Amino acid sequence: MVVSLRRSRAFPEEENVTKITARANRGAPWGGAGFASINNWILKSVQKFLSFLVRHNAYLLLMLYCGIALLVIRLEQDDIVSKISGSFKEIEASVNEQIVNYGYLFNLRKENERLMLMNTELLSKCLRNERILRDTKARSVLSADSSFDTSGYVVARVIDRKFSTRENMLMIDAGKNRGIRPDMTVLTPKGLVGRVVYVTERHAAIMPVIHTDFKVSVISSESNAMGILAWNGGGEHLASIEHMPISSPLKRGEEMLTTDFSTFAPGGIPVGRVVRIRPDKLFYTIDIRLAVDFSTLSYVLVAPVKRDQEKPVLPDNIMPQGEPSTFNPVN
Amino acid sequence: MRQSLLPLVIVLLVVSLLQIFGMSRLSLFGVSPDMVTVLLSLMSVYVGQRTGMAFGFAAGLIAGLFSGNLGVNLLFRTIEGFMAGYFHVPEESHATRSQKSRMLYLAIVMATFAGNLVFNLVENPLGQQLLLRIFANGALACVLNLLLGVIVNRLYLRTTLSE
Repeated sequence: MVVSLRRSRAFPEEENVTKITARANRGAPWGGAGFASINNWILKSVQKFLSFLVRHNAYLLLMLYCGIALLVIRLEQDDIVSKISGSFKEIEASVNEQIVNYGYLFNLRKENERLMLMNTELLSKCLRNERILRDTKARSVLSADSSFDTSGYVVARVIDRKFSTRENMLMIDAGKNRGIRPDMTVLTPKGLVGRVVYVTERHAAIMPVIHTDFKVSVISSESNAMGILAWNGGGEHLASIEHMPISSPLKRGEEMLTTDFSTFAPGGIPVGRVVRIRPDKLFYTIDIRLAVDFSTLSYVLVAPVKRDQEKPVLPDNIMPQGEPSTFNPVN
Repeated sequence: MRQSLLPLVIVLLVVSLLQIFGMSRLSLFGVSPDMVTVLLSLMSVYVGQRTGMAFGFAAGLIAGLFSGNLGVNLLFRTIEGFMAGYFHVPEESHATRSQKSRMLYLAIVMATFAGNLVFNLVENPLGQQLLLRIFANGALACVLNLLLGVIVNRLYLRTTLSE
């Protein structure tokens, strides 16, 4: 202020200007205190503003952060932001993939068990389907043989077989429930298989031709020479015919059929073909190749029981003297 | 307290990544417990509102970059930090352990609800009704986060708070 007075005395023009300014300042909002007042006012305002900022900096920060966030929302569709976000998404995807892989490793045991279970189920289904297919095929083969009337016959599947050099047995999946009875004849369209010896509710045991106790009377289809078919062990494709008189006009290659006087088998069922004839003292020793291949036997037909099973037993005294009777009345 | 900001930053980063890659898979009716919200509440209560907000912004940045909703994540995480900051317990406070715990739980609930409110006002990823999103989902998120907060408090902070 002192400086101002001194200057006004030295420069009266400036004093006038100061007075004019002072007059003008009187009407100003800052109360007309001059430039100093302006400075003070600015200083106070800045102080007030700073104190406001200090007091409300949290709100201002919030506004700043929210402003940035809103700006980012606005700019989010831009290429740069979407590219940055896309690259981070790729990182996230790869990390997630790794996590999933690790999770898979941890669950591997459970997964394996589940797959094993599924495999077992599929395998059983597959086997069942294959069996059904095979059954259908085999049944169609049995019924497709036009030369053989299968009406009244029971088609059964061989479910078990016990083969040995002496005693062979077959088991079929038909029993009393399907009308199977003991002494029924079991055959295929190719020839004789055997006879039913034991029946349960759902299964039946069959004594096949290739059993040492099995005997059946046979007749040649061409020369009508008769004998008794028997199996003495060994190969399952060969059997022999006993009691064929040496006078019989039998030749190699002749087909042997069951006779009408068998107690269980219907007549005319093929049994096999003669492959070797060896003359003995009174009888031939004949080998025949059996008509049925027992190694591939899977389906059989069970013939109805022969109606007239009663057959008069021939007395021993009508047999030739000195010869042992090997005639089995059962057959 | 300022000297311990760096470990907090590391913890925030780890927790954010854990939330993105792990916790978000644990979903109940479409709502997952949020570890980041709990951590932000914790920071806001014990460090301060401004720090909580800053950490919320950072957490939103991390989550947003990975989720693809950068702006929304920035917004609602910041608001979560800000909201939890109202329950700030100063370092020189003589509050008891239970009072501090209560403030923490309140901060978690309020932050969760505020964050959920803002998120649902801006985004509707599941196409649900607004009121359902705000109140049903918000309430469920509050419960889940509160449970998480209680677990964290019981397992880890109990001894820290009593010091």
